[in-house]
Amino acid sequence: MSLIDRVRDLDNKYCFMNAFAEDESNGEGLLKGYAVSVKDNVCVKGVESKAGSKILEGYIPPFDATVVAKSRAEGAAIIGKTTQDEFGFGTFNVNTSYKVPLNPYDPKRSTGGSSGGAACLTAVADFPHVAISESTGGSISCPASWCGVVGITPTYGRVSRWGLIDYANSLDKIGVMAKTVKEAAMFLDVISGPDEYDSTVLKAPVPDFTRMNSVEGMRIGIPKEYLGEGVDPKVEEQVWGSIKKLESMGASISEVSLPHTKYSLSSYYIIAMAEASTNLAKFSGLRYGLQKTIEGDFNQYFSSVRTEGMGDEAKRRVMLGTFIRMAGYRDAYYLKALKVRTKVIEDFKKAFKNVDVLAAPTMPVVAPKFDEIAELEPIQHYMMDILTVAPNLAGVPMVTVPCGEADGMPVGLHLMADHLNEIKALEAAQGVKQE
Amino acid sequence: MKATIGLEIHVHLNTRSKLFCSCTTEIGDKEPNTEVCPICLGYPGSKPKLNRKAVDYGMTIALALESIIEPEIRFSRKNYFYPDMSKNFQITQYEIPLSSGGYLLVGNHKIGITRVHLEEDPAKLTHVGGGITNARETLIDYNRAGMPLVEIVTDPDIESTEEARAFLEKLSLILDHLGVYDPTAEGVLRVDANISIEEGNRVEIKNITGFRNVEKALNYEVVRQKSAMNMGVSIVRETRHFDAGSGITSTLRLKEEEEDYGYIAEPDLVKINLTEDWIGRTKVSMPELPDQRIHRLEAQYGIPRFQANILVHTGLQMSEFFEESCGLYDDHREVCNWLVTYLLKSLNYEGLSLRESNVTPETFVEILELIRGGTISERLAKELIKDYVKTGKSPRKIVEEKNLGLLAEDELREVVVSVVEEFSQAVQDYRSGKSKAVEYLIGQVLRRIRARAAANDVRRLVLEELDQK
Amino acid sequence: MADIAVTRDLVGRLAKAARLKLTPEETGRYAQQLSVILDAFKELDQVDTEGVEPSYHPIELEDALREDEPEKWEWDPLANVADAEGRSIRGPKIK
Repeated sequence: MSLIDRVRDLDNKYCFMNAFAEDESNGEGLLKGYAVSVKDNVCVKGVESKAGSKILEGYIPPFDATVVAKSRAEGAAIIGKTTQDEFGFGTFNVNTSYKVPLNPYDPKRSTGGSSGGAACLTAVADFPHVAISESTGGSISCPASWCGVVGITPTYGRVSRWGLIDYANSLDKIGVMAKTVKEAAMFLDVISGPDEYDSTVLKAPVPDFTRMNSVEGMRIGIPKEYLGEGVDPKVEEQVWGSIKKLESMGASISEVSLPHTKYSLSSYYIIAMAEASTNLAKFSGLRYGLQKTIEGDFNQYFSSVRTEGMGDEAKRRVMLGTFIRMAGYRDAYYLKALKVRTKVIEDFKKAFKNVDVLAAPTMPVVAPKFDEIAELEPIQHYMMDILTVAPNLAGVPMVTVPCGEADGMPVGLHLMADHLNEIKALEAAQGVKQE
Repeated sequence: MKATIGLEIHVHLNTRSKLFCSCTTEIGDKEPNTEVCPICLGYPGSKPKLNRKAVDYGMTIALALESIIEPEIRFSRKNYFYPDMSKNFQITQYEIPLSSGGYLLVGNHKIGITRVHLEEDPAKLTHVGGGITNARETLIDYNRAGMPLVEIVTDPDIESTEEARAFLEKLSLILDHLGVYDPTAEGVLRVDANISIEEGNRVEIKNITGFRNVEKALNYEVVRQKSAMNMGVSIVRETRHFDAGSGITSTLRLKEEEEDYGYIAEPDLVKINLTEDWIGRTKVSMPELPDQRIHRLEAQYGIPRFQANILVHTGLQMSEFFEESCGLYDDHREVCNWLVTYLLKSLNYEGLSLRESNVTPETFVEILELIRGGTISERLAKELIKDYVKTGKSPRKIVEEKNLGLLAEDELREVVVSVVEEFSQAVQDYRSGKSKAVEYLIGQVLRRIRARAAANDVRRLVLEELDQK
Repeated sequence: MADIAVTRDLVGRLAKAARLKLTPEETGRYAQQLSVILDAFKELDQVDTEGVEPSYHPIELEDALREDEPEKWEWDPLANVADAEGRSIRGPKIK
C-alpha cells in the first residue's frame, strides 16, 4: 500500500485531512523519508489552502509558506492539509464546515483545536510523520495533549509566518507536532530561522534544538494559579506524577506565581479578536477564494460573500473585534488589553529569573465529548483555554508532552521556558518521555 | 470674507519599488494587474516589508518642511471596505507619524504642517458605464496598489483660495528640488481640501488632482457656501467630490455615514528607530532647496535676484539648464538674459516645457556664440530662437541652411549700391538737404537684407555710397 | 470599561460595519452572546496599568527594512480570479 493510500485509509476513519497533496519527496535532507502534513492555514503551493473556511474554498496559493519550502528543501514529502477550526477560531475543532476530526482514543471525543487534524494524524500515523501546526492561544498544545502527542510552540518570531493565513499576527506562531520529542525538535530545527519576507522574525541565532541535556540541576517552577480549582484532579495527578519523576532525575521543584493569569484570557481574546477582525476584512469576494456573480453595490456584494462564506464563530469574533476597535471603546478594550499583556509578560520574566522551566497541566480536563461540547456557550469554549493563553500571549516557548492518562484519555504536561529558551522546555519534555 | 482652509496632499514617491513589496513603481502605461505580487494584492499569508528608501524620502520631505522627526515610528491599520483596497485596510501611520510641527512660508505667512507620514496607495478603479455615482460596474487595476505615498497635512492656516494655490506651487517646487517624486507622472499630487467660511461647518473635498483644480474646486465651494449662507441655509458637514469637467462639487457622503476606521497597530510591522545618526545623514544629503538655490545663483553667477527667481520658479530643469549653459559660455549674465527673456518666451509661446522641447545647453549657447562671433545680429537671433525652440535643431545649422549669416562687407555694399541706384528720388532728396532721406534708404536696405547686418554698418555704407557720388 | 448594553441595534451596526447580513434570530442570539463575553472582559478593569506601556508584540522587535530593489514575481495574478475583463478584475459598482 502506498503512503498516500495509507493516509487516505486513516482519513476515512479519523477525518483529519481537508486536502491531499501527494507530493513525492525530493530526496535528501533531515526529513528524508518523512511525510509532512500541513495545517490548512499554512499555504502550500498548488494545493487548496483554506484555513478551514468556506470563504477560501478553492483558493490555490501561488507560493509555499516559508516553513513548507524549508521542509521540501530537507527532503520532506508534503502529504496534505490538515483540518482545523475556521481560521483558528476554536478549541475543539468543531468550528468548521469541513471535517471534524475524531479523537483516536475515543471517536466520540474531540481531538482539541484548532490544530485538531494535525494532532489526530500525528497520533495515528504508522509511518514517519511530523506535522506543521500553528498556535495563537493554544492551538498546538491543546490538541497535542488531548491526542497524546508532542507539540512544540516556539518563541514568537522564531519561525517565519510568511504564508500563514493570519488569525492574530502578534500571537500566531507556527510550530510542530510529532510522536517523539526528538523528532519534534529536529523538525523545529528545520523550520526555524530568519526570513526576509517576515518583518517579525527574530534575528537571534537558532540553536540546535536536538542537543538536549539531562534535567539534572534544572529548576522547575509550578505556577500555583495553574492547579487546584478548575483542574480535573485526575489530570492533576498525572501531571504531578511526571513532575515528581523529573525531580527524581535531579531537577528541583518550587512554587511560583503568575499573578495576572486570570486576566490573560480577556487580554488574549481582546487582542486576538481585534487583529482577526481586520485580517478577515480582505475576504470579500475579490481576487481569490469564494467569489460570486458581481451584483449590487460593493457593500451589498461584500456582505453577500462574507455572510455566506464565514461561519458562526468567525462572525462572532469579527463583530467583537470590530466593537473593540471602535472609537470610544478602543482605549478601554484594545489599548487596555495591550497593557495587561505587558503585565502578563512581566509575570513570566520575573518567574524565569528564578526557574528554568515552568510546569503545569496543558489543559484543565481531558478531551471532552462532542455532545458535551454542543451544550457549551461560546464563552465556555473560550474558558477552556485558560492554561494555554497566558504563555501564548507572552510569546514564550512551550512544549506539551504526554504524561499519562485519565479515564483512558491522554493527559499532557506543559513545559514553558523563557523567550528563546526552547531547549530547556525540550530537555524537560525529553526527561518525562524518556524515549 | 474669511475662509479657513486646510489641505492634505498625497505625493507619490519615486522610489524604485513599492512601499511594502518589491514590485516596481514604474507602472506608467503597463497593462492592468501586471506589476503586482501577493503582498500588494492582499493575498492571505502575505506580509508587508517596509522600503527603507521611502523612509529616507519621507524624512527628507519632513526636514524640508522644518518638521520634527519622531524618534520611533510605527504603522497602523486604517480599516474600511472599498473595491480599491486589496486588504480592506490601508497601512498608514495613525498614532505616530514620521514627523510633526513643521511649516511652509507663503509670502510672510507661516502655514503650519501638522504632520508628514507614509502610507500605501490603493488600486485604480475604472467606473464602467457612468461616473462614480452611477456606473454599472467597476474594473480594478492593482498596479497602483501599494505605491508609496507621503501625506502632508497642513494646519487650517490657509486663508484664501489664492493662498492655497500659492502654497501648492511652492510645495511642489520644493518636492521637485528634493528629487523625491516625478512631477510629470500622472496623478502624483492628490489633494483633499477642507474648507469652511466664516465659522460655518467644514466641508471636505476629496481626491482633487492638480493645483488648478484645487483652486477651481475651492472657488466653487466658496461661492456655493456663500450663497447658501446668504439664503439662510446652513452648510452640512460632508465629503464632496470635485468633477474637473463640470467644475462643480457634489456630495459623496455625509459625515454621519462616515466609517469608524477602527485603528490598530499594524502587527505585521515593527517599530522603526529614526536615529539621530539617520536624521543627520538625511540632512547632510539633502538637495538644495529653491530658496537656497536662488541665493546661490545670484551670488555664483552674478545675475540679478529677479532673474534667479524666475529660473528657480520655472522649475528644476530650468535652473539646471542655466548652470549647464554657464559651463559652456562664460558670459553668465548673457546666458541668463537670453534664457529668461527669449528662450522662455518662445517656449511659452509654443506651449512647451523645457523638458518637452528638444533644446539643450549645447545648442542653446550656439546662439550666443553666433552673436559674439559676428555671424548673426542680435535682432536675427531673437527671430532664430523661435525656430530653434520649435525644432530643437542646432542654431548653427539653421543659420547655414537658411542663409541667415551676417553679410560680408562687400556683399552688403552690393546691396547698398543697388538700393542707391534704385531709389534715385531719395538720393536726390538727400542731396537737396533732406537728411531724413538717408533713413529711408537705410530702411530699404534693411528690408532687403532682413537683419543680416547691423543697422550701424548699413548706415555707414549708405553714407559712404552717397558721399562717393 | 462602561457597561455595554449589547442591543440588537448595536449588533446591527457591528454587522453592517463588518459587512455581514444577519437574520433577526441571529441578531438576537449574537446580542446575548456578545453581552456575556463583553461582560467577562470587564475584569481587566481590575488591573492597574497606570504608566504601563502597551505590548504590540510579545517580544521587542525593531528595524525590519527592505532595500529599494524592484523584483518581479513571475506568476499569474488572475489565476484565482473568477471574473476578469481583459486583464482588469471586475468588481461591484460604488453606488
